[in-house]
Amino acid sequence: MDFGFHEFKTVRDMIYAKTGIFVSDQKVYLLKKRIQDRINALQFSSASEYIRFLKFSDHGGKEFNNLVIATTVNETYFFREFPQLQIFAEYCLPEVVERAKKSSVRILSAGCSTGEEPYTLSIICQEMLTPQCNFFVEAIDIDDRALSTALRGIYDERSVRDVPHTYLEKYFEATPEGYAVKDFVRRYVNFSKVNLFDQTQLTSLGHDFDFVFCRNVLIYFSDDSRRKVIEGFYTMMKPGGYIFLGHSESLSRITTAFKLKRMGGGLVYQKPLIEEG
Amino acid sequence: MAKILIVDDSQMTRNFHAYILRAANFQVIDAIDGADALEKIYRENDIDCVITDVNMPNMDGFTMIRKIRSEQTFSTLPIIIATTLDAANDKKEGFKAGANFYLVKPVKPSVLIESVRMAIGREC
Amino acid sequence: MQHSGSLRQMNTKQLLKELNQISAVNDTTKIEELIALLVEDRREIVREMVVDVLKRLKDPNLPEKIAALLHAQDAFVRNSAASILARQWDWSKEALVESLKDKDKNVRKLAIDALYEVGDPSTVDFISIALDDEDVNNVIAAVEYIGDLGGHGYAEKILQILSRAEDQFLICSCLEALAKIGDPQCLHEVEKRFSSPLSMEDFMLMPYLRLLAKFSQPQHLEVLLEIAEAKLNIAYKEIIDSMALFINRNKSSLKEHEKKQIHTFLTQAISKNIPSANKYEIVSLIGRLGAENLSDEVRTYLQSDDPMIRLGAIEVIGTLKMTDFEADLQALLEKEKDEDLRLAAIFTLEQLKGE
Repeated sequence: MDFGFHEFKTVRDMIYAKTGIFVSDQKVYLLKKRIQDRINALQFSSASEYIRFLKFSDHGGKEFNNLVIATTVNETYFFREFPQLQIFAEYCLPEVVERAKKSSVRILSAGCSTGEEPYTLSIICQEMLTPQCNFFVEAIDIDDRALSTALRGIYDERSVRDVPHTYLEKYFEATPEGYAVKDFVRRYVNFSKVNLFDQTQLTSLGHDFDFVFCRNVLIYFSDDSRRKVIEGFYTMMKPGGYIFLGHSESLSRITTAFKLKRMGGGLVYQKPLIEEG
Repeated sequence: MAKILIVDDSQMTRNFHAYILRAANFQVIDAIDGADALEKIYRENDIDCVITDVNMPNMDGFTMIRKIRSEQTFSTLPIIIATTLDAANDKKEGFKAGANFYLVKPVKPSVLIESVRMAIGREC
Repeated sequence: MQHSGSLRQMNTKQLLKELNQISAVNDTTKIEELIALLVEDRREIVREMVVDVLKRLKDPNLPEKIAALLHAQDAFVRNSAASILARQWDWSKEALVESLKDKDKNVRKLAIDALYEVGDPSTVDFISIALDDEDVNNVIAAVEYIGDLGGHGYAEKILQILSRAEDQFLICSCLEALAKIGDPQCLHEVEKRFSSPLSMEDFMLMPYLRLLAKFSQPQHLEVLLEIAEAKLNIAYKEIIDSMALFINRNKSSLKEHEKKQIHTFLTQAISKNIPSANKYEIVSLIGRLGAENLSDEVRTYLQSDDPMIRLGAIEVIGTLKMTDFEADLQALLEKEKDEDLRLAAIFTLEQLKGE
């Protein structure tokens, strides 16, 4: 097949320009295999012909979206993308509390799936915030089955593989069924079924969020709905609040309304403190 | 080896400018518009010079320069504009935004290399 | 909710909600107000969303009003206008073609950009009008876009432009475009103009190399290898890409000694100080070239410290159906940490078992 690194870069650039998702070099095999399968299924004669189809004839972008999804690993576990959580814990969280002299912090975990992310955030807040400062995690997803797993709060070895040992002892209970999240972690998380496309339902959660986590979720959306969801988050956030996408997702391809900041060696996006009006 | 960021929505321009600079021993990365460039400037944090177009979708070059200059860390990052806009008021706006050099396309290879060298204050 | 007609008085939250509403019900009575917001408002989220709404509104009279904004002094406004017109292609055709004739070359350039942004090969015929533009930048843009959109019918015209081009950027653009839409005859014509490639300026040699490789025949191997050896340090990407093109095109007609020559070059290149991604490509090419007795070499790559070289080796095992590597892949799986490499090894094992 005429699919070399040049073609890989062409497709990778397309994915980045359209979705903001950066496909790493190591994905070349996976992408190539996927494209080979699609070329066979759609009976194209070459990779260049398929790429041309993606560029100019894939109206509605369905083929393209499926390709993007096929190159991403959809696995969720506690403390996933650790460096990013570290920036949240050690830089963003103290900054927000200090700046606004806050006594409570509100966090949205959008597309929370089976609950690993919101519980992780609850653990981080327990660790980082003083007892005088309250916090609450609003966790939403559209999938009922995922939500019921989240509510059950019991996880296997694989899900907790990145949890620091001391946290595992402190925040989880080893049961015959698996690791159960302790009550004082659950207490600060509220799960509900919300469709991110439904602006009314989404924004009814409030307009006072200090943090929004929407990691590795937007890949499943089209260009237009991605923008809409982010606009929704924008209005739901307090000025100076932070939004976190997955570490290979770039918000700048969707909107430039958030301010970029370098914190703790990484890049974060902040809603402007003062909007130019 | 100095690291140069080329910002242009035209792939051909990015390639052309990259060929010239790589042949002159510069390390080159590129960005497809102002928003992408800002992201790379913040992420990489070790860019020595930016060469940017003005008319681009998503975020134009002037807006991008103003945003770069509003950040203390990047207040002295050398910025060269390379654009097809040759009117006096465009040049004025470019310098006002905070550009250090203003080149009109098509840029001669020798001029591009010389401008980068002047902007960063060394050969390569 | 505030009374309609007062978009400018609303706070951000109200305004964003109202903008969503305008879009949902296609309220075209708000177009003037939206344009005023786009021009005057300084809140980025608002401007972006107004552009978004203007891209979606359905009104045959909208493009003409938007086309007027191509003259705007504010760069954001004029670039947004181009993007809106691109998205409104069903109705903006006339306005864009009219803008291609504007006396301001910058407006013509924005119109060319917008036509390209439409992303439809049928715009090529309109873009081609700019091949005769008096401004060289507009010709360069048209050449690039026609190449990218696959306007094969314009290869001849671009060849003519190349034959009288003096500007180096225009020359490079023509070479790159011809690599996309040309044919072996084009290459033949270009070879006449550039009879000794190694004396070309490096920046011009790179697009030339692509054109050469794209339409190459076995007899081009010599010049290709000559360039490759001389310029690998500064142009590794282009050289490896052109080797890939050459192999794809000529694989079946290459003689054993020619394969050997390429193989020798590739194995030397892999030891050079070039990025891992390019080393992966080299290993993958070695597989595609398919020289005999590769087992030992592939085994070495499979044990490399560089994950991209290991990935290349896994791929070669699959490509060449090297069934005697099953145990090696199993051994790799036992210690490999990289998820993507693991997946590749698993797929390849499945593939080998199916043989």
